[in-house]
Amino acid sequence: MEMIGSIISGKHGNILIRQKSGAEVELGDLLIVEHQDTFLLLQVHDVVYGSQIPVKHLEMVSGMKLEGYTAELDFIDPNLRNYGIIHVKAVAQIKDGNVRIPKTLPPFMGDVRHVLKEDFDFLTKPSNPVYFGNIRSGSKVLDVPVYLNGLDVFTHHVLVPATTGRGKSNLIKIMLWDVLNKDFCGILVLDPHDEYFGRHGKGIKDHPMSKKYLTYYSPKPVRGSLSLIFNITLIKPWHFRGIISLTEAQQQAMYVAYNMYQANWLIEVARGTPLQNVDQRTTSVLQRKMDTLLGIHADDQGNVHSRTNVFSTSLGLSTLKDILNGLEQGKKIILDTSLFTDEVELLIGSMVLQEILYRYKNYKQKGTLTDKAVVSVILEEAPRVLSTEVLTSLGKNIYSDIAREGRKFKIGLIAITQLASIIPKTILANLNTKIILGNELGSERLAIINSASQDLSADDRNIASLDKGEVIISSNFTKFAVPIQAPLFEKYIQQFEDTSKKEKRRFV
Amino acid sequence: MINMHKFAHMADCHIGAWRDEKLRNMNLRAFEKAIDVCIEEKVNFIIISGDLFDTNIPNLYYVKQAVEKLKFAKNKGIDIYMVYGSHDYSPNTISVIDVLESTELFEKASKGEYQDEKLELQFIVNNQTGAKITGLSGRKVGLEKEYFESLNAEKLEQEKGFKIFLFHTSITEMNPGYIPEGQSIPISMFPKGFDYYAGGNIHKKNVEKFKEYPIVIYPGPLFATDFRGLEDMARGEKRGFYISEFEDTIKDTKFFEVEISEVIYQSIDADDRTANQIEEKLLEKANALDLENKIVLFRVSGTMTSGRPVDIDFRRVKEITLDRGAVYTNINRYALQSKEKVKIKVKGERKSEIEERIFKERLHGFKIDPSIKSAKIRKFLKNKLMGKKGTELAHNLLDVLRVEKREGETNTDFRSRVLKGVLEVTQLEDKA
Repeated sequence: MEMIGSIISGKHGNILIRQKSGAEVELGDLLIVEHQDTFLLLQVHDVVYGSQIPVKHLEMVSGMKLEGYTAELDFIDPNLRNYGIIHVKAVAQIKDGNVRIPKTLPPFMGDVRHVLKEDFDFLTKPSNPVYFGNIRSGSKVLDVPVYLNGLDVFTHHVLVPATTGRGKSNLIKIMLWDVLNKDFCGILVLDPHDEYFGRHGKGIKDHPMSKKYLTYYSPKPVRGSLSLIFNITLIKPWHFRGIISLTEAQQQAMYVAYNMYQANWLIEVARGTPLQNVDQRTTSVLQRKMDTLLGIHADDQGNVHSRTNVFSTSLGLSTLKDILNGLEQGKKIILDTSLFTDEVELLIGSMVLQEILYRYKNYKQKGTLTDKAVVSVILEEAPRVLSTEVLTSLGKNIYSDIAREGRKFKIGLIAITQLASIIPKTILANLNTKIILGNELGSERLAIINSASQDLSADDRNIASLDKGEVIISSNFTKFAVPIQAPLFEKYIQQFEDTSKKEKRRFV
Repeated sequence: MINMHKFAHMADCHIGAWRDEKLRNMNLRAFEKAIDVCIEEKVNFIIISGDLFDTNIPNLYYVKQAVEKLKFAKNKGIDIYMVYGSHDYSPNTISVIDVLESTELFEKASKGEYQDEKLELQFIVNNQTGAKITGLSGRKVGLEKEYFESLNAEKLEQEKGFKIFLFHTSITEMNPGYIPEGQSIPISMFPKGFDYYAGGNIHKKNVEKFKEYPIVIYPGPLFATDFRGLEDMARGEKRGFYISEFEDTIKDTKFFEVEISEVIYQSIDADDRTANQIEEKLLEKANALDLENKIVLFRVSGTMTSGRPVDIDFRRVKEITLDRGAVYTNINRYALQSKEKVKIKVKGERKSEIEERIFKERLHGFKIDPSIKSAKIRKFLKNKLMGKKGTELAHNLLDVLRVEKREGETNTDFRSRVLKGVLEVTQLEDKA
């Protein structure tokens, strides 16, 4: 393999390499320097010019060329006099297939080369693997798939900070596709853009095992999918905690209604039925809030309706139970919430998560939790429930509870956001895997870098320059921040086309 | 001017159900009453959404009674259409429904065939009214899902006219909560735009409207098929069927209640009570209530402070209720425990639910003998004995094995009939 430079100076975290003339090096490139039986994996975080000629001489030479004094003017031995200086940091030290965080400097004047596929033989496929993409060196993609242990990653939460158009949905689709038929994890997708199932194009529905492992609920179901309808009696007062703004008196009124009418409490609230020891004004405000925020209201005959039809007094009795059972069995459940308000979407998520957390706490108590699938929830625009402002004004909610204690009960979050900076540091620190996509906002990059599992302090420029589909995975479960390229979903799934022969069927 | 037509929709009659003869006869009487109402109401046709009988080959006395009643209706000019239910269908043996259909007593609404990968259903046209009827039969463990998945729904949707779709399948959105997961299908799997969706299998009266599905009805059973069904009746669940009037669309739909006997249900909490106290409580209730011509259900549950369930004289309680005019009494004590002995709990109330759970649990732990090395045999066993197919096989085997010896049948004939059924269900060969 051709050398591309040699180590000339620097310090731990910022090693300088003199670039060989003609060698191509770009930001994010992975390089190797070998020393005896050890090799060091380096990553480029900056490239600058270097020259043996003083700057004012360079200015003079360029001026003469530009102003037409001589067209053939050049340096003697130009490759010796002008060159590139590559700034790298050592990201991993590999010896006998074992990876360590580098603590020493690579050999002075050591030869540096680009990485090869074989250099990653130390990367093994873990148990419960989840595929995210292939190793990427700069913008070059290597034939080295990257898998993380899904059990670790999902229980310890994932943050996907990304601005629009950087390939976030594509990445989530790849991940969902990969884990679809793996029953170690059940995943709930709250999908406010209805983009994962593939209603109008390719999506998770096209997976050969989707019939068995995928359940799609939508207020406008396609043939074979389920109507997203919850029976109103399944909603409990505690599902509202931290989701909608309620005064203490209104919260108490909800519990009074629940004590009086049990499962029918919300029906009575929607009807405006007087509640014991509750001021009628409080009841009326509560009734109005249920109407304006959730669309739950009663007509003149006292029949309760839901404007979005997502809540029903007669249908959807088994929806919650079916979703919980599905998740527990390792199914992937997509809820199309594209037609709902934030409040309705978050309330639905809250219903499912509170009940699954309750179930899993019970399993833990009984000692049967190890047999259950890890449950993870994909939450778009996570600051709606995890931002400092929301947590301060509305109080804790089930999403923040899960971020804090979910891993003890095998429940995790996959929080997607454009604004990681408004999520409190305590929560960010709990999201132990960051799947970092391109981000042009300096303040956002800083929040991500400051909460990453590896030292990414030198990677600000690197993150800023990430192109669509280019990702850095920083995780407690990787030895270094792994640069990867997520494949294009539509192209990636072509290899999984179902070619199995259909059994001849008989109709009776 | 278009004439107003009428049709009746009933389901889950389960004729022949109940071990107890009195209840079995009450169930039959409910069916006979329903047909009488249909005649009185001058319906043009009756549709039965599956489970007319409780088994695929029921006791012939009840078949005879049901046939006579249907024949009576038929002779009055009422056409009858039906689909198989999960109880009166057998994948391997001829069902009594097949026999009766061959006599043209009624017509099966589920007619069609696979063309390539698509299931093409045909419409039956009712000559009196022009109504177009089609549908899908039910199968055990909700396996009719395969039919729905391969159904050429678009073709059915394009058909013009007044259309009825018959089915014996639970719709997930309408699941009252007790239908096991995976044994129901979403409404979106049904062909759209029919005027009436006539359902069976859910034992609870339910009428719903969905977008593009103007009316979906489960009438529930005509009586009850198990004790939970009777308890539901005691809690006010009405039993009966629907009659709808239609021209080019449904104009009116009415529920006709079939009243056979009032049901009284009393629950007794055994916690903090001794065996004697529980017996006293039962006697107190048996003596205080008006039991004349009523079905009486007691449920005793909880953990007694002393004594055992056998110390309670349930027989005496039963005798008193019958003396006081009850037509039938049952004392459910499955959930009654003594402190000394903890009973094994089986979740589920319905017979089918308990069977389902036991099969699932057993099959979950089933492992193919590692000494079988042949991949072909292992694959065969895996396909036949595990998962949903295994559960279906177990159900079918149980159905075959629980048939009763017929009157006049010799032991040899009975044995060979059962063996034949087993071989057909298992698709094994008789090497004997």
